[in-house]
Amino acid sequence: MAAGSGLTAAADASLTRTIAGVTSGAYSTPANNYVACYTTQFTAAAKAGATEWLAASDTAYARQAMGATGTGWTIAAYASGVGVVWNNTNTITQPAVTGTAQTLFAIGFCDALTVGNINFFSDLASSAPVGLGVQVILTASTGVVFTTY
Amino acid sequence: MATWNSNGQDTGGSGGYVSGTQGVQYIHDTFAANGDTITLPTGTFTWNTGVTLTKTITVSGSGYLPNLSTLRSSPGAPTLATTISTSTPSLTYAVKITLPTGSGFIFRMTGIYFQNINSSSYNYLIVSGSPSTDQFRIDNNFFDGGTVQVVMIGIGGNPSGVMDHCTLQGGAASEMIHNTSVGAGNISGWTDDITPGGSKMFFIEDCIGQLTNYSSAIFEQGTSLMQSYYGARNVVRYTQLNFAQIDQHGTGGAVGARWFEFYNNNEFFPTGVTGATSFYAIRGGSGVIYSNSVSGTLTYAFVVSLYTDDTSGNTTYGTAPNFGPGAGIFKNSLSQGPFSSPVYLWNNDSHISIGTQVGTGGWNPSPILLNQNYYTSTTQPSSMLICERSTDTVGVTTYSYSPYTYPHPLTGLSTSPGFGLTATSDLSLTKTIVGVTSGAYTTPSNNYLACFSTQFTNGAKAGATEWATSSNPSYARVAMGATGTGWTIAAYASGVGVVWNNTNTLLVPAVQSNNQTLYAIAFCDSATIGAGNIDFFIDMPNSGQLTVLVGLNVVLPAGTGAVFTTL
Repeated sequence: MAAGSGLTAAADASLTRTIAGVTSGAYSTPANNYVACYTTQFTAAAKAGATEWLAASDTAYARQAMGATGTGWTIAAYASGVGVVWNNTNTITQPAVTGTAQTLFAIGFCDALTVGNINFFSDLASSAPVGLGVQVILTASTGVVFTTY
Repeated sequence: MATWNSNGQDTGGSGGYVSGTQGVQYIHDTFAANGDTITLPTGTFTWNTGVTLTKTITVSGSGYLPNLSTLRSSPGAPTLATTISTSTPSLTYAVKITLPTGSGFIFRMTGIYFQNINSSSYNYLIVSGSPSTDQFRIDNNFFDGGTVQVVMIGIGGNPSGVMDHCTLQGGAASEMIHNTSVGAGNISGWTDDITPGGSKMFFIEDCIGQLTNYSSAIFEQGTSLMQSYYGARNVVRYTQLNFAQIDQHGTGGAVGARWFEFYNNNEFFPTGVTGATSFYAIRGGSGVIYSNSVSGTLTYAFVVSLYTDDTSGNTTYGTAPNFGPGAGIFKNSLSQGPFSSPVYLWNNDSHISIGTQVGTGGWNPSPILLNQNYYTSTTQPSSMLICERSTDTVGVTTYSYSPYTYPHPLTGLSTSPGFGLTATSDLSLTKTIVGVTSGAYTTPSNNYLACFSTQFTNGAKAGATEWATSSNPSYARVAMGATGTGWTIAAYASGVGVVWNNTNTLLVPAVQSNNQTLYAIAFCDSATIGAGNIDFFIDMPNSGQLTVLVGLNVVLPAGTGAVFTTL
């Protein structure tokens, strides 16, 4: 399946309602963003359905908070023909994998430390093994870059 | 530059000018000067005679409003229209313009829906001129041939001009445009210089050419957007072909079409058809064919065929076939050889099959050969052989091709259209997405439709000029419904996204005092002109625009007027 990135299908739907002014089912502005890891892709078409890592398998796994009220993101001004480019401000580091080695195929950005909504995501082109003791790291500024256009 | 309001009829009228009471021909003959405009009101008018024009005027109907967001689909019946219904006009055409020379203006015909042609012996439009006459623009018209085999438009004399944002549809075997150049028996169209990428061509851009009811077709029906002859030179670009081909004729016993530049066009192949379909038939002249795409059923080939149909093996102008694919300029009335100026094809969709075939009647004494008459490649060759100018030498002179300015300068437009969120919304919504509260998107309590006389453009997505009550006193933004009730939002569909469209028909108050130009519509969060936020917008497709005459409404049909996709 083709790798995807950007808003999830659920966010597409809710954000459309926000854009148009529909209050029911509108986008829920996150108080914080949390980085999550996935063993499968969201895919470009479905933009949903990825399987998140489990603490039962990687006992150290936890979603990582990026900063309240969007402070974890650097948002550039709109540029003609380019759009609005936004990227993670700080380096984000997952705890070293413990228990069982993991496979990383996507990362997602959620609005809760547990459960909640997955708002946007970035699939990897191919899965990456993450061995025991290894950390998933999103480098500051370049770890993940989105464009709204 | 005066504006004269006709009553929509072709003939009739007497005495001094009285707005809205006289026919087009009478106003043209009696009052209009070069640079003036003759308007036709909304309504259906049966033209039994037709009009013969000789001045570089604008003939402006009230237009029609296509689905703004789906250029590459059938726009359906017009919702706002001046309709000219003509079955058998006594002049055999509805409109004929013989272009003058040196007036300093262009001839323009815009905003008219033509219907009811019932024979290939009649034309909706004839443009007659020469390379040195004033230029022309035919835009935003719908030429409807129904299911009849038709020739709806004739171009003669090699005048330069553009047809843009028009829809043409006809029945099986229709040849919807005939470019007859300088006419049979005349080789002057093969003796003048051709400048690749130059302006001295007949341009078709941002148009739709289709077999009527193409989506239900079950076999090849030979419908052509255009057939060209006798030294014609054409550019067709950014145009949708729905089961319709383009044919550069060879025409045995005469001379064929001279030059072509066909690029960035898309051919749609209906689901129910089996077997290959013709995209381009190249039987005469030279040129370039590149970056063409396909859509629909991809099981069968989309064919570009290069061949000669000079069944006589005519050697009057040199070695036969002397005007077949790959032949260039005639010098001293003689061809410089059957492959003096090769055809180049590159970067076309992989479903497009490029090849040759035996000519009409099985005559093929000098096969059209790859790497001789034509060349194919994945990218544009840095240097290409040419012999189209009197100073060119066969096998020696080369050129590096660059296309002519797009959109064509005669459209008066120079920007690319945009669509979707404004630049401001891109930024504020990004903040909303990640949870930044300052500067976040303001959820509109209502949406208001607004009209603009300039574009937002695809790059800036901002800066369009809204209509003003100082020019159009009745103008007001139109409320769509509180809390988003004006929009129908579908569920997310895999690979498609969330499609949302206007639920109800939206009607902007009829224009008062001054005609308005519509380049874009947008949706705002305030009823007050110039206030609030402009959240999202639609520029008219590919830099088109619409003249909205006094007394007319801009109408967005329910369900189809504005369609967006969030993906």
